[in-house]
Amino acid sequence: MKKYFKILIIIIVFILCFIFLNKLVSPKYQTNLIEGHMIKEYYKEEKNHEVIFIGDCEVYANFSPLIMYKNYGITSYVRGTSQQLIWQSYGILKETLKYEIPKVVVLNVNALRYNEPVSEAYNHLTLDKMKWSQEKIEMINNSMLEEESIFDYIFPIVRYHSRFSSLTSEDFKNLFTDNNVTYNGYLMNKNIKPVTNLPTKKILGSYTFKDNVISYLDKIRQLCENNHIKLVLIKAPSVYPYWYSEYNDQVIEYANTYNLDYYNLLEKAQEIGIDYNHDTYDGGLHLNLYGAEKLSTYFGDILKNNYNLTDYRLDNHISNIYNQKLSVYNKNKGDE
Amino acid sequence: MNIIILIFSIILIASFGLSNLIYILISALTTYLAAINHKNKHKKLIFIGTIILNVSILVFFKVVTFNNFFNLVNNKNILIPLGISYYTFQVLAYLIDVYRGKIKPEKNLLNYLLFVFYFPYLIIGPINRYNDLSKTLYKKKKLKKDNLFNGLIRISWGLFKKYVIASRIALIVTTITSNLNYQGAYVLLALLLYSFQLYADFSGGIDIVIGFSKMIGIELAENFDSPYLSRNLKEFWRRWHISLSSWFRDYLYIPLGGNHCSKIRAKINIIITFIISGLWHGINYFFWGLFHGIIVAFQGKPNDKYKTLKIILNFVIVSLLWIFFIYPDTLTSFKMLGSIFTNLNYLNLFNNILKLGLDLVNIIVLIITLIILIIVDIKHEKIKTYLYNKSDEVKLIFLGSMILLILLFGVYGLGFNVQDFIYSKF
Amino acid sequence: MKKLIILLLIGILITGCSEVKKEENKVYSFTYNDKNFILGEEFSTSKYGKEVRYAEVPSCAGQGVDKTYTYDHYEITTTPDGDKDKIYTIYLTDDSVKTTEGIKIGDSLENLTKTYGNDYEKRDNAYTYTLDNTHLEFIVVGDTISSIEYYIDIE
Repeated sequence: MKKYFKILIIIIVFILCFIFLNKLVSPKYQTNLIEGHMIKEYYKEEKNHEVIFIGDCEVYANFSPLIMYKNYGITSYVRGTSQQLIWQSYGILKETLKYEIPKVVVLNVNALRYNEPVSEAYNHLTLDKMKWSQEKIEMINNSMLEEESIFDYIFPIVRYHSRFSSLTSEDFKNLFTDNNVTYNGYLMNKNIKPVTNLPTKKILGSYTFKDNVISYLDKIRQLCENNHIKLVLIKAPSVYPYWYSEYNDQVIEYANTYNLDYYNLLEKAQEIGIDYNHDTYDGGLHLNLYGAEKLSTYFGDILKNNYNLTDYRLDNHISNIYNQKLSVYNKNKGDE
Repeated sequence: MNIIILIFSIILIASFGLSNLIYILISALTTYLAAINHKNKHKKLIFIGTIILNVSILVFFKVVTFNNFFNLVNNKNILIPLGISYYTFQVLAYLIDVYRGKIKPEKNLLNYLLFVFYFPYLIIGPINRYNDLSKTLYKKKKLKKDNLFNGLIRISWGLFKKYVIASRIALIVTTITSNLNYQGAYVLLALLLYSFQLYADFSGGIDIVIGFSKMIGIELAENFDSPYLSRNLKEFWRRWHISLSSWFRDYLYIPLGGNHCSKIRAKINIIITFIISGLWHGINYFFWGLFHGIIVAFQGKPNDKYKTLKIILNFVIVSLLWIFFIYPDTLTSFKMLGSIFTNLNYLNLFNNILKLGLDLVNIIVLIITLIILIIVDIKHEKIKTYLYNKSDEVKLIFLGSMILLILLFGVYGLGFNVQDFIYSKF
Repeated sequence: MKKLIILLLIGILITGCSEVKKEENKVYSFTYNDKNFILGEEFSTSKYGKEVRYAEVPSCAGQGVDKTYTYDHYEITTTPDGDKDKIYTIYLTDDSVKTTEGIKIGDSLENLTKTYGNDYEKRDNAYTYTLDNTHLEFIVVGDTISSIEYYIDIE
């Protein structure tokens, strides 16, 4: 009896060591590659959002929910991740609906140009910190490149053990920290880098959205229909990568076919008041804080006027939460 | 239990392609029948015919899958049948032993098939002798706790050698050998490191085979005996890839006359044997075999005078001759080997040592694990006895630690590009 | 003693054949005037000349910045590899320049397959030829080539 007890203890100790090593070599996404942390920040939020944004960096860099709350009382969350592919958007939306049913889902259409998995690194940034669920497993299987294996995701040590030779103090200090890097999913950047030149617009082998993409767009649309959610399509005002007119036409056609609203905010840049000399932090790919606030003010107005949203500035409980968030937000805004 | 092993072996072989199964079945059946009929009046014909058939199949595939010198076949997916180099030699040894009267033929077909099809040895050897393997292969299998633990320990050491040591060294060696502009001192470094890489990889694989067999109660013969501690090349071949070199000694060298003839003839026998051994590895290993043969032919029994010096000199010679293993063709091998003596770019190498595929921490890990390898190699008997006699709890702790070490320090999967994950192209 | 002699003999034998030429892999490259652009090679304006237009394309996350250098008839995109920028794509921007094998924008599909053969990978309108880890992609609309781009695999 005593022997089996000893053996059990030994096994438990090793399992703990194993778990610790997994944690140790995983990127912490707290000071470096913070985009990897974004997906998990939603879970600890109070689920009171009438609007959910999904999509790639063109949503998390360009839309500030706190500004939309401040100006219109809209409660929203941006569940964007870097290089989020359309089937990942579907999985993330499906997971979100397990927590709450919003009134509106806003989808950025940029990812429609990617029919196949693109990059192993971006897959991890989107998926690593997501809670395990059927949706996550589906997303992993749909996103994996040939050289990847699902064990890379189940046991981080399989993918990240090569980091042992380059662990930094961040890896040790942040083993148990879990600090937010976003404001309701918005990633703030105050740098200014004006739009100067862009690469030549290249001719593509094909401009048609492929089957895989359309099938997931359909799934997203149906998911919203089944849950009585209004699906709104947008194209964020990022000037690069090029949003070909052929792409735009297909989105317009899809929106018309299914009676969806589609806002091409790129075409409305002037109306929004975007100054591409001042309002972008990387030469036009993403808006910075100043651009994002302008865009959020503009778009928040559209949301308020068209989608029957509640003004939660009048709600005590919600306004407490958001005012607290805003004070942190404003403090960091003012920091130089 | 034996049936299960046989069935599992058949399924495994077939999973690599049905043709693999057919070829090994041909060799098994022809030798089985030939052995049973070894007292038949046409026995000489049967014996020679079966040997020629099996050797021809082996030679055919060796030639046809060698695409450097002979572009005979358009090489459209002609793959060498799984394990053919190993099972062909194993069945030929069996057949010759039967005809020599050394062993009685195995009458039970299933038993014989188990002997030929036993899947662990098909991947990497060892080449087994029937009268050795049959002692434990056919015994009723009872899973004994000690066998399980000791086998697992052996497997874990094999995995450690393969993934922590060999694969790590391979990162540097491939950087050097995939770019023919790395010459002189770089080639020498690659050869010295490759000696350890090849040994760790090969013996590690054998450890896994032997360890797994031990778990199910089957004892396989050792294939390595601290080969780099050999004092000369003659001794080296009694310690390296033992099952193969002893096969060549018993079934080629001795039939050729061995050393029971004139001194010159004896030397020629050695050289011929080594040439064929080289060709067994692959057509472009001809010179490797030739050089080993020439050196061994002129060596005498090893003695302990200047022992350390001899060990080092032997290690260097063996390392230099691995040249044929690391470059794709004979011509390149000779050229790069020559550059060692003409291009003395040691300073250049020293300045670039961190740019060859391993960062500083990994180089330190490499050095530490090499030291561990050498120590374990020198003391392996003592260590084995020590570990195998420990309690189950201690063995479990050892196994758990090995698993964690392999998972953490092993070179496998993604993440070993020169560029770190953080900087890789998105 | 014998061993030493043998070692020396082998050494002499090999020393004699120690002339080693620089290894040349077959890959795609583009030449304009006297400038030879090899995919994967380090790029610098001192080597290849000052560009007409320069643009930077940062990646979505992480610290890599692709750079494009536009010249009169072609555009070079580089990608960072360690602390160097390596040539990643070469995009021909008009029909006044030809590939090394003589094809330019505006040429027919027939000419293309006659020059490069039929060992291409076709995806929609893109015909891609591959040598080692370099690719040459032609986009053919109708029967004419409308775009030519060289690119290399990223590790």
